[in-house]
Amino acid sequence: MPGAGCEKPAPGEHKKRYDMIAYIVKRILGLIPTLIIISMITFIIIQLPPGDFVTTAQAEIAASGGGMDASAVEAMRIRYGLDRPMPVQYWRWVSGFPRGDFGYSLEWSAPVWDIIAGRLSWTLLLSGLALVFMWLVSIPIGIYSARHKYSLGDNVFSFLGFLGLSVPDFMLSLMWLVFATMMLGISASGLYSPRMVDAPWSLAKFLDLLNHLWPPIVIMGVVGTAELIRIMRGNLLDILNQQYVTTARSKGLLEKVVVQKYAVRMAINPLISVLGMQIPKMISSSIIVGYVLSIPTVGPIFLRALITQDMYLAGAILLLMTVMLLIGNLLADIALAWVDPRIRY
Amino acid sequence: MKKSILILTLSLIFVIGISVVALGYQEAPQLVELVQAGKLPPVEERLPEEPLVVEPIEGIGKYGGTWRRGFTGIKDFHAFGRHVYDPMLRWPRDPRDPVQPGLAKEWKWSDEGKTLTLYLRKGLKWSDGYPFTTKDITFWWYDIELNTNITPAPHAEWVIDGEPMELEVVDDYTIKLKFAKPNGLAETVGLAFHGNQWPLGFERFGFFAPRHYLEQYHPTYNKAVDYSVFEEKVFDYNTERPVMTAWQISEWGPGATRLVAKRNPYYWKVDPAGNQLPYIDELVLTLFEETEALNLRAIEGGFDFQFRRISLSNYPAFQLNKDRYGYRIFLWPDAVPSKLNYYFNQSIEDDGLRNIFQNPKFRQAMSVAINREQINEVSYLGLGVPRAFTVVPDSPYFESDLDQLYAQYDPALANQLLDEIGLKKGSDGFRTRPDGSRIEITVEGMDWDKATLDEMELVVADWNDVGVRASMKTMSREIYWTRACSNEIQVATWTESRAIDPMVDPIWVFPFDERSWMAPAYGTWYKSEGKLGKEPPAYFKEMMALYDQYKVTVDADKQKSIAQELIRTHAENVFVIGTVGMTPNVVVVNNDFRNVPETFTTDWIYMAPGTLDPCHFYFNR
Amino acid sequence: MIDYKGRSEHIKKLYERQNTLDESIAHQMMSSEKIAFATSQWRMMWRKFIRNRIAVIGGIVILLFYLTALLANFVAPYTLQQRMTAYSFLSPQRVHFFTEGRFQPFVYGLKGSRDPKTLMRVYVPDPEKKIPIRFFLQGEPYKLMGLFPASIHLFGVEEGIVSLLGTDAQGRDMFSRIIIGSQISLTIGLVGVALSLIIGAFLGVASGYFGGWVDNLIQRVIEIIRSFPPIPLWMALTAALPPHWPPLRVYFAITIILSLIGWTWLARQLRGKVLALREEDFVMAARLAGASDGWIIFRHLIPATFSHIIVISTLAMPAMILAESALSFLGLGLRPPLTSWGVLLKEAQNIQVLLLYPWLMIPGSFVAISILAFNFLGDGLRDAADPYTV
Repeated sequence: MPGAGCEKPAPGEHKKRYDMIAYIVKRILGLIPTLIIISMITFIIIQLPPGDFVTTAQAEIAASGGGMDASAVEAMRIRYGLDRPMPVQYWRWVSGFPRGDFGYSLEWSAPVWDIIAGRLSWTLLLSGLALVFMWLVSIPIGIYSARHKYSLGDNVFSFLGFLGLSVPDFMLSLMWLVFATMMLGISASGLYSPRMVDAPWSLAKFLDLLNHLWPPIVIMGVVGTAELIRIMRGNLLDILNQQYVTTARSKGLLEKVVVQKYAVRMAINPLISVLGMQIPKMISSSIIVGYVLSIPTVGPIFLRALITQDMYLAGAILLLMTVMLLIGNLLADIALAWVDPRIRY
Repeated sequence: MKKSILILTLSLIFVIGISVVALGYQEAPQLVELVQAGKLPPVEERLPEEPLVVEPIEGIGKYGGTWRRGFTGIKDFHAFGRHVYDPMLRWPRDPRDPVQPGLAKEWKWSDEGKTLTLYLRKGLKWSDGYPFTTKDITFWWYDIELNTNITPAPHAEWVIDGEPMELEVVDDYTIKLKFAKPNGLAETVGLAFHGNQWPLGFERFGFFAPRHYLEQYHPTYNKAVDYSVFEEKVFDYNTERPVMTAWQISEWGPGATRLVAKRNPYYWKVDPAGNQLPYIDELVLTLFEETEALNLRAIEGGFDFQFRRISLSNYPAFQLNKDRYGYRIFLWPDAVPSKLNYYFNQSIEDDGLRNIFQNPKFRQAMSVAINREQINEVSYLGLGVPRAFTVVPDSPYFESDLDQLYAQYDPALANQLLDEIGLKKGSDGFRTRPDGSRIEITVEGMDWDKATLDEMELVVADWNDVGVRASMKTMSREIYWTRACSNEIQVATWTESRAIDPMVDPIWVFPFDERSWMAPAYGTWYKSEGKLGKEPPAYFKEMMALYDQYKVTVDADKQKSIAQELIRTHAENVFVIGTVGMTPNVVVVNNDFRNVPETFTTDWIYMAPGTLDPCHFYFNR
Repeated sequence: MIDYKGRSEHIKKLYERQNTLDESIAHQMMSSEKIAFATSQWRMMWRKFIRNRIAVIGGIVILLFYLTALLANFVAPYTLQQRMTAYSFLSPQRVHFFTEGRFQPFVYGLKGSRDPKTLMRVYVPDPEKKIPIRFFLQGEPYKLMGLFPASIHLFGVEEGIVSLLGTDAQGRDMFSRIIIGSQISLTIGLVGVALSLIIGAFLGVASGYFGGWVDNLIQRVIEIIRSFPPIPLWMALTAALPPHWPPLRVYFAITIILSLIGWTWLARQLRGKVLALREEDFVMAARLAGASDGWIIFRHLIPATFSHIIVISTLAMPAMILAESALSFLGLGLRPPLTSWGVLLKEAQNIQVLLLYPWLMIPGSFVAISILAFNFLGDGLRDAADPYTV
């Protein structure tokens, strides 16, 4: 009976919660066959280049002035198990995953996971922060643009947005590098300035780190921000023309309240899925930006691994980036389903 | 000149002074603490009876400091390996001097050059305090070099006439190396060049290894382990492994971004005042995946002494920034005969092309077709020396009439020579083979830096201008190397060092092995003693025979005359085309960093900058 | 009994009847609306598009770029092979437009030398020496569009050098290299999009039309492909290309690799459209008339989605141009001696350019401008094609 201090949830609530969990479980299960196929495709792709790691190692040594003769090469090949047939190599690689064993990097002479674990966290951190940046920047600007449609501010933001959309991230990174190093005289590459690299942890060092982190985050976020602003603006414009908004207005509510309480909430929903679509771009972008600005993301290592045919390393990185993408999409879908009651699952 | 005389005199005074004053040794403050705490034996006990005295370049140094450098990855081992040069015998600082003592304080030939006796310094100790004795040499020879599970075949300098050398241990500090015939390569190749601790990164050559540490990981002595464990433990990046070098790697692991090496308290060298070396406490090498990022860090003053991986093209940037960031810039000539050189493959499969390439007039024509001055200006800031591909003036084999042979820019002569061979120009301006078919040569190279790629493009353009249709292709180093060694490339390119004493590793002098890209298939033939590869024509066989003679004589004069003959033949026949050589290294030196000479010729074989004794560099603070 | 021979006549009559119906309705409306109603779909799109000035500007820029690319060798004052090493690392020259009051553009002659301290090349303009810029003058011979030998260049100088965007290490004029390089950069996008189109249109429409297991299968494939982050996937694929392949083969291989992911996006979009169209009357009518599935797809559905296809293709171009630039920039795509904007940017990716010769990064602005223009154009087309937005 209502008002009698009843704690029991309404009959619909239970179902909604179970539905939600069922949805999540169903999505996760659905990922598994996808993951298997992806691991196979990844392995095939990594095997495509001619030659293998041993030829690489030989060349490197020689390029530094040393030399390896043919029999040493053969011995190395056998030692690294590169003389086995493909399916066997694939199975050996894949079977290690549940144990957290992603293979052995021939270039670094170490387990793959040890090499990339730290860098993956940087990739995740940067991508995540870039998404947050996009979110924080695009929503207010989108709201402003919608409310002051065709004003100077709107046009300026529109144009800037387009600019951000068009200038490639490697260009932006290069331009920043030049600008910072030449004009501002500050260090722009790496995580720390040369003076701070070996210094012990302190507030100054932390600030130095932040100073090196915000450019890549902004650069990575710029593209997505532009898109989000336009979509936010478009959505908000649509909604502001809808009937229930007019109703709220006619009721005498303040414009600000109307916008914030009703319109924005509705406009945000599709943004979640758009944000989700930015995840692959973020991951790709982190590679290029990391390469140009020497941030220890997975990017530079991936590039080297591809060139040196360090196949386990390259394969693991590609696979893990794909997994990150899939998980990101899953989270975005879940968030969307949770927020938007119209979505049936 | 005057300066070096002054230094020499000062050093002499110091040495005399020492013998007068009691032989008291001093050590670094951080070690003094440890000794007082009882964790280390006193310095007199840590040093050998006769420590090696390092002649300082400027003066006696001060203890302390961290030496910051950069490197590009695990394979860039020499970023560390060449700054710790501690083999049995050592190359001299001046290449015209003879080989110097190292871990071995003396050595004697006997038995007409068939026996070499080495006398190690008594009291040498590994970095963990354990004595260094001849047992560490026998461990290397019998359990590593002769063990086919680790080394497929022992290095050529220890195998004379098909017989590997024999070792005879006299006592803990004396050992005899016995050869079937006189071994002319033992001192230079074996002990000075390859005489370090095994394996020196990916080089896999050496002369000793810590038996007391490695036996427990060697399958012959411990059935519970296999060779992969051994490989891991013997490798230079293993921080537990004892060493004889000035610094020992103390921090490095997978995913790490820096390599740290700390002072070795048992290091066996002192300065003339009796201070135990090294002065500098610690080396920190930061990892840069991209050479450009490394250069940027250098420009910003992030390194204390670095020339490796520093690009000459950045010289202006360094000059513009050195005052702001507090460093000096030196230009050290590199003993490269030519920064980039071109190998017309004389063993290529295509018969028609091979005949053309084997004709010396063709190679001479291609050489004079190149505008070297232009290359020097475009790629090397005008700092190199346009020249032919032969030894540098510092080399004991240098003869002044050779280094400009066919190095002039004379397209008219080139055209004339090409006409003489019978390669007539067609209507499109490009030459054809005698039978009328197209000539199209591909020059291949790896992903060089921009300046080197510019040079390649200029050379290819020059060749097109004299009617030889040429194009270029670049690829990653790994793929390129394989193609070149397997005789697939028409015109290979490479940077080459080995210009002071090429006889130590004569891959460019004649087809020596598969790395001799003037004819890789013939080189393979020579190395496998006729089993693999293709049989060379007579003119190469003559050169191979000469080198065989070189290997078995210990008479220095005889060796020198053979070397000069080989090098002359090489230059006259233009086996390798060079363009601009002796390009300088850009050396970035922190203003505080001392005992570094203003000029020094770097060379690969001579393990630059090892012969400068990095252990005696110091920070003047 | 279905009369197969007369089937096409039948359908034509259905259309005609629809058109006359439209006409009759139109007649009954007011004149301005009549014009609006009577015009075809294309005309309407055009009128809407024209009003969007930004989109028109974008279109004009694109047209200009492609025209220049077509006539690249003519527009460029120098060829790719011309090296003027005496002028290496020259910064962009100032063009002066008036000589003694008349319109006669000229540049100053230059004296080049090497700074003794930094060893950089320095160029001092000589105020006495005015080199006039001539138009339509004879220069180095070339082959227009690779076929027609010619040697007239749009503009140039008879002595000295006119370098609008500076030169590189070998003294090659960047303006010429950028223009000639645009041929590859802009056409890779075209070929890539065309390939994506062929695969994507077919599979997307089929997927939407047939539904069922066909739809499921294709969607699964799309899902899997799109699970990979695009740049890493392209990186991995281009790293696999054998290095000794001739440049043309590499070019096509790269376009194929780029379209391997590109088609998925197109297919998805078209599937959505087809799902909607599937229920339309004219499809039902066609099916009742006995048209086969293939007929319906090719003759009805694809033309109906035409405008959509154009929009999507236009919007896909920037991604292609960007991808090629990024890959070549990383060293995985095209390589010298092929010249594209991405290759030029790779050459500029070193410290000395960054710090000392930044004009070598100008190809990047061309990439950005073309992407911008395509985005404006595509946006405008999309707005024009969509009847529901104001």
